[in-house]
Amino acid sequence: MLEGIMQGLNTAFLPINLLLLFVGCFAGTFIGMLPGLGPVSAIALMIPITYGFDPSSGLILMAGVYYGAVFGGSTSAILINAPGVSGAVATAFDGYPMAQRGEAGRALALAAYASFSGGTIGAVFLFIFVPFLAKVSLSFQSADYFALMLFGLTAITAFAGKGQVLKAVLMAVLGLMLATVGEDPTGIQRFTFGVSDLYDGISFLLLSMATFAIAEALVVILRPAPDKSEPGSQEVSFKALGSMKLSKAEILDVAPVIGRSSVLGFLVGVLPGAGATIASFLAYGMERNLASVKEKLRFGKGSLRGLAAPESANNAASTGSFVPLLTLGIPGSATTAVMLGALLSYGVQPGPRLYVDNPAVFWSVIISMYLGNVILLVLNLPLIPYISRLLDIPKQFLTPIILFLSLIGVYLVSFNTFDLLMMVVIGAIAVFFRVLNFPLAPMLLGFILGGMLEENLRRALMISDGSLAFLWERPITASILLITLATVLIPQLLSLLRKKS
Amino acid sequence: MEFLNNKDKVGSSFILLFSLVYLVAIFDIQVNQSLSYDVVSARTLPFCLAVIAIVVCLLQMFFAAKESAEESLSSAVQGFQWQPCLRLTGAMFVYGFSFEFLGFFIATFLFLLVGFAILKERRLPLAASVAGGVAFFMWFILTQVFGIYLDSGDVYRMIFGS
Repeated sequence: MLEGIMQGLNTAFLPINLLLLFVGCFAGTFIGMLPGLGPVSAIALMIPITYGFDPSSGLILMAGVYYGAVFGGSTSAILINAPGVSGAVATAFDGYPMAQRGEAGRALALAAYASFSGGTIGAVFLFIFVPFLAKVSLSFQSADYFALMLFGLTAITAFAGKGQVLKAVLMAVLGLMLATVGEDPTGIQRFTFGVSDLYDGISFLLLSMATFAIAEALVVILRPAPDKSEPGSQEVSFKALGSMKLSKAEILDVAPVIGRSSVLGFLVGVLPGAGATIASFLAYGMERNLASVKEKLRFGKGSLRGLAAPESANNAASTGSFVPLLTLGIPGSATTAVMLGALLSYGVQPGPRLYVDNPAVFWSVIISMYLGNVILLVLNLPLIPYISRLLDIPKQFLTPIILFLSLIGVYLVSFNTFDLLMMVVIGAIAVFFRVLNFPLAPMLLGFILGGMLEENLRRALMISDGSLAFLWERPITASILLITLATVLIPQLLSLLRKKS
Repeated sequence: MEFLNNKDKVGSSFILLFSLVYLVAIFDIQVNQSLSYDVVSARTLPFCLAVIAIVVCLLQMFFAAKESAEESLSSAVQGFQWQPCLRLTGAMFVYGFSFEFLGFFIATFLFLLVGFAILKERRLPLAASVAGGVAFFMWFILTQVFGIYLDSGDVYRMIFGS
């Protein structure tokens, strides 16, 4: 293990890789600030650019872009109350009121410190747990993988909000259905209707860019702009961000909040499908419940605790979401799914074997993820007043440019104009679902896991000669399925009990 | 009409329709005769998914009917600016169709220019400069810095030859 860490350190600290990390953080912050272009789109745009790179360098650049985009999303949430990424929605609750009362600099600084701390705690956990889990997962068989994927799919529906559970299940199934388009594992064409462009199935990148980037940009146009004359709707002037200093008492006050939220964020991030958004809301809710009556009243009006909690949780969750990818080869979120696509394009197969076969890549990714956090704090924070001027670009220029970047990002991977047309159609359908309040994240997770789920189900059924006994024969499979069942049933039982009482 | 004004019912009906088409299309999937002894065929998972989707859609429609506080579709779309949204969607379609004919640079320039105009940017010289600047910057970065091939288009080939 030590040898692997040393190899990883040597790779991550190569001057060219440090430069790539810096460029990635900077570009990610830039892209993350734009409404509609989150980490998924930012990383997707990097895939064609990094084709010629060696795997470690490509992944290091992407790790930088990832953290930069998460930080950029928080910046726009604080400055203009428009979270660039869904994980930064809770950041806006208290970050924007702080900015409105002239403390934008302090809010941005606190967001950066909290993100850094969340990322640090997440990276330490990653360092400890990933090698251990990778070793454990070497003993996993098809049945266990199938159970794990089922768990991933049910987890996202369990985390769906009130009245959203059935919708989340439907969308996850829709994602699974879309994943069956193209060749099946034995090479038989399904749902291609003779269209050769569909033989390879729908690309994940296309689906994610259409449902997130294109749909978001179109929804921004669809919804009427808020009346700027209304009180409280003014955007913050970037020329007057104010001081970025926090007092010692304030730091001491938020330190335990950051610690708790980071641990919670990491654990939530590890769960497939949960992700940074849920982690940030859970952390915000937890801190609000733990706060004194006086402090509770400050939440939503510019509370430092209210800002620190979601920021540290979403960064720790972003780190945690790499656990299933690196140990099992299963992406737990849309971002890690794009990362999986990138890894595969470099010829690197993530999963337990990555730790054994490619220790330099494995460790350099983990180390550079942490370095990305350091760079964000040391270099990006002082540059924020300048980077934030990007938000001054008028919407009539920004939206078509975002649409163009999304379209070209997908085209550059396949070089097929059919993908552009399919992307527009899927984007329009995604807008329809968004208007109807149907969640899109479960669909994407269903799509990601669909292929792997079918392959493992097929293999498990063949091994067990068509018998469903594989579901309970192995203790690991049975345990995971029991947890899955508990994840589905416990929230429903609790809600029933609450209704009765 | 009440049915069409309920967001949950409209969404579920759409997925139900999709699932029914999907179910019918399953029977077009060839089953490999040499693998007929297989316990799982190419139809197995799609069939299970179609059945699950249809059942969940019906459940969702049933529960949506009981939900009194359900937001109506008409209030959800109130004040929506459909026209620019539809026009931009159309512009993206045209961009996709014309890409090979016009080539990256011209297609991108025109798409951006039209996009700016749809969103009511009336300063033509400024819009043209931004569109041209973005198209050129992306072309330069992608082809000259990263060495990625971008199709120059049929128009370019017709004028300047290949």
